[in-house]
Amino acid sequence: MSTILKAINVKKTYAVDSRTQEVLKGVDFQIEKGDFAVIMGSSGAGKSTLLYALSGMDNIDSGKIVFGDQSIENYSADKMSVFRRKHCGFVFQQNNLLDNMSILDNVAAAGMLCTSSKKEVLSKAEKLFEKVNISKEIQKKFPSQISGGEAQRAGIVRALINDPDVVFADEPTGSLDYSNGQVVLDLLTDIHKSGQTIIMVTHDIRSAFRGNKVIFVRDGMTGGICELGEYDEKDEERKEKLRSFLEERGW
Amino acid sequence: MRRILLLTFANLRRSGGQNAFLAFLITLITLFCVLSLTVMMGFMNCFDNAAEKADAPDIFAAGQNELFDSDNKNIIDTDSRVEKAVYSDVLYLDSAQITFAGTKKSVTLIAMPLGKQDYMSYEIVEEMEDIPENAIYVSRYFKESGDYELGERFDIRYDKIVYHFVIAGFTEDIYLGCVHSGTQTGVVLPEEEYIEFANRFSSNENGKVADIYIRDKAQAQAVLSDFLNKAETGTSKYCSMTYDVCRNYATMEPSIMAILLLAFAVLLLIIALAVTIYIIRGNLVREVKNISILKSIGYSSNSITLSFALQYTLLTLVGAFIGGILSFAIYSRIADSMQSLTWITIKTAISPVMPLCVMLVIMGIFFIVSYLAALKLRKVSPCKAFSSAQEQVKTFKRNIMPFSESRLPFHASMSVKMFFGSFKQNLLMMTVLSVISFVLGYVMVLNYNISVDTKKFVDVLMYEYADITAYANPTNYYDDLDGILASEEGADDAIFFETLQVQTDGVNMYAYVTEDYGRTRNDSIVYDGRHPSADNEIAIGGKSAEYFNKRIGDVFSLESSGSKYEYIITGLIQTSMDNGFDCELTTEGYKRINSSFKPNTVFIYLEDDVDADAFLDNLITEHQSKISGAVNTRLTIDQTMGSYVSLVDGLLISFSFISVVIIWLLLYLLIKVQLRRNDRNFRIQKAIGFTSWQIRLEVFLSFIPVGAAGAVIGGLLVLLLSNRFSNMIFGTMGIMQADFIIPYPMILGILLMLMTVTFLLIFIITDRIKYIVPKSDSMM
Repeated sequence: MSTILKAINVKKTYAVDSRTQEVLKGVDFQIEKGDFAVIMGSSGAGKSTLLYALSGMDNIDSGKIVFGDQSIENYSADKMSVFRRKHCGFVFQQNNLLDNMSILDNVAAAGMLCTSSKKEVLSKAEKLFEKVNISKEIQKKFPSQISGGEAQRAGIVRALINDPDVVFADEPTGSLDYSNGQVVLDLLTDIHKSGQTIIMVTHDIRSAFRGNKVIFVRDGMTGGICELGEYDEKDEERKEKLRSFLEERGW
Repeated sequence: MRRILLLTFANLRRSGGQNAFLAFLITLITLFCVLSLTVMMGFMNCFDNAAEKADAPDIFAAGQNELFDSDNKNIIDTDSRVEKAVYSDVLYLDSAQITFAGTKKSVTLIAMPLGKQDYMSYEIVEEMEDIPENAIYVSRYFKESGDYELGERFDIRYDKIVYHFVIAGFTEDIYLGCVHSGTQTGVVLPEEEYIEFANRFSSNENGKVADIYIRDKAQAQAVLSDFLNKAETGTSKYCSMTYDVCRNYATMEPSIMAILLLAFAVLLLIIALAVTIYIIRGNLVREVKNISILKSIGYSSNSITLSFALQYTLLTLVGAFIGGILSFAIYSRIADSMQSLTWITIKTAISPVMPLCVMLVIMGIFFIVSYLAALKLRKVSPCKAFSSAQEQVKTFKRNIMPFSESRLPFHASMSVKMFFGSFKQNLLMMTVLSVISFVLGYVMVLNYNISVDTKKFVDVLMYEYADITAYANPTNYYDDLDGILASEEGADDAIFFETLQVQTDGVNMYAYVTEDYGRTRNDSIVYDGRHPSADNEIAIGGKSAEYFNKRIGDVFSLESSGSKYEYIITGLIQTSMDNGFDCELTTEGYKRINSSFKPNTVFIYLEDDVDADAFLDNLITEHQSKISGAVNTRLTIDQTMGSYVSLVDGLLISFSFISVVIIWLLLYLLIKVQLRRNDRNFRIQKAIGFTSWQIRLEVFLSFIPVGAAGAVIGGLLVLLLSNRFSNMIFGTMGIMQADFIIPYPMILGILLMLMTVTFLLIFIITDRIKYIVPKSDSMM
């Protein structure tokens, strides 16, 4: 498998008023194509900061982020926007759909950034909506008119519309109840099985179990990587391996 | 109360830009209100004070001796309403010509001997140390607006002879200080000069001034009318007016300016209130979490609402205070320019109570409006404090322009969605732009009609007027003088046209008298019905019709020498002369009242491209035996218009400047609020790959309908409402139906300029979109 994303000694500091806080203190790892990598850590460890740094949503202070064959850490804001639309898909904890347009238009708005063919975008969207089980009636509704689960599934469709190299998911089940959360995780598992590279941040062990690789972040640094192999719901050994990995790290 | 103030000051600390803008608007509103109200009330009061100080009479009448023969004097002296009447000997020179601001004017000149008569309603305000020979004292108005100084030569032309004097001093005279054409102007001569001057004339020029004091001042007009009705005036020339008429005339131009200022202040107030409501509503959305937190810890809805209301009341206090201070600073300059429009020293000052009252009224309005606007927060539940759900997600009913159905390019579709997503806010912006466009457009209409193509304005202001006005020689009278002068080379036509006084039901009115109204040139006078054509027909002023509750077809009576003469109303006229208390009669119609009437004044209309001055000189030379004098009326009108031009030019510049500043600030405020409202969506768009330029373009395109519609609606309002607006402003002067020219190219030009400025500003302000980063807590 080829490396799709590499973080090399990534550092990030936040400054608020006169106080500074070093959130990432030198993170190193790489993600292979086809990975379902899960970034775990306790609250304040720097998980989300790392995710946004990897996806180009946030700048870093030093280090390198190599995405494919491009070093993206010095890209301008607009160049990064263009990069994101072509190579990245995002699934947020709060679905973050645009509130002034329908679900279908939310997906189309993302799709039209990469192609001028409306027909192509709508056709792709239709297939993806079918895959995530969102009916045509739901597609015409506004985000405020649908359930959290439906909105999150729509967010996944939006993330996939431009065939991204990597889907970045930040606590995708954080706002959902158990059953909706399971549905979302099943979807992510399915798209991973079809070859999609996913990087997901979570603090939920059940969600982490879906990944084939867990990267533990502690105090702004990589605290270890656990290779789990392909997801198998019934594989108890796999579950135990992950538990031990996390317990060793004080989880 | 303390906790409410705590919230209030917390609210104020936020949104400095909004607060500054509102405070600025309120400063302007207060400033304009104080200035306009002070002028309106102050000038009137000041004129009253000056009149009281000068012991000005309630009625002033002056005329040739015949007017005040013993029988006529007896009418006044035996009137129980008259407290006293003082008569003074004067020289009464009808149609004397003087030069004022470089223009020849025809006035009724009343010359008085210095200190040797009972008429003392004037005061010498400036005087040379050494009084020269041929000294004369003239109205201070000659210095303020007539370009005269002490020691300068002053010529009076009367009956083809020019009399030379030297200005020894300036006077202020309540009744005789004016120097407009057709009015009476007083001059004072030292006793020796007066006797020498008087000796040059026949007894025709001997006259009297009557200062009449009334017990009940409200009866002044009735007393005057009764006197003129009963008196045997014969062919005597005379002029008369009550104090109220004099005061209105003296303060007319400042009053117009004050009305315009006040109208602009009201418009600004409406804008400020609309913006306040908009800001409060926006803040309620943005601060819903904070509001719910406050409620959850124990603040009542009323406390929070009061904090909002107090916030804007405090802002009003600050803005109004600054406006009040500024009004004191600026007023002296305003007063000086107003001073030049009247002939009495108006020493007004802003009463400290005035800004305080204005401030309290504005504060009260803002308190009520902001309180009502903030009441919506009663619906915010304290539970929202605990909700982790996104609070900024709005509910929409309709998916405007779905991409699947849209034929527009992608970003244009996004702009349309954005436009309708903030429809109410855009509507507010559009309304404000419409109002500003209307104001600018209207001032342009005024400017065009007053300084570029003045015919329409002059038509309603001046009633009928010609290029040259000639006066028949009473000692060598020609019945067909009009025909004789019409046959002069260069003359297109000439008609007899008189302005006389008539009475009806205790009211004095001007009467315009001519043989055939079909030969008059002013089409704007009759706005309903037609001119009179028979001797039993009359057209009356619109204001008169309202006052007497008369319509076309009704009977209207005029009184003379105890008799009533009935006429049928054929039409309604409009003119600013006598504030709309005027009428039209045919010559035969007037002769029913005064059978010995002989018209004296000839209006001469010249052909195009005829030099009026050359025609005038030739006329005087050719017909010196037939006419006692002639003036270039066109020049006189231009001079009168000059004061209106400077008034409107000043307004145009200041209103334009203020409007552009307001637009800029308002756009900045509204767009900033819009950007903040859409902050979440913009962050999401950036996260999924929109560039700053793309978002900025969408925002810019979404504002295009706002800017364009605002300007177009404003332009349409100018087309549809500017004349109605003029009726409202000039209606008090007697102008009932303005028909000003709408200069379409100029209006279009100014609207295009406004749109360009608006779009430029939008483009500049939306630059801040580049600072929006895709990652924020609101997206977590």
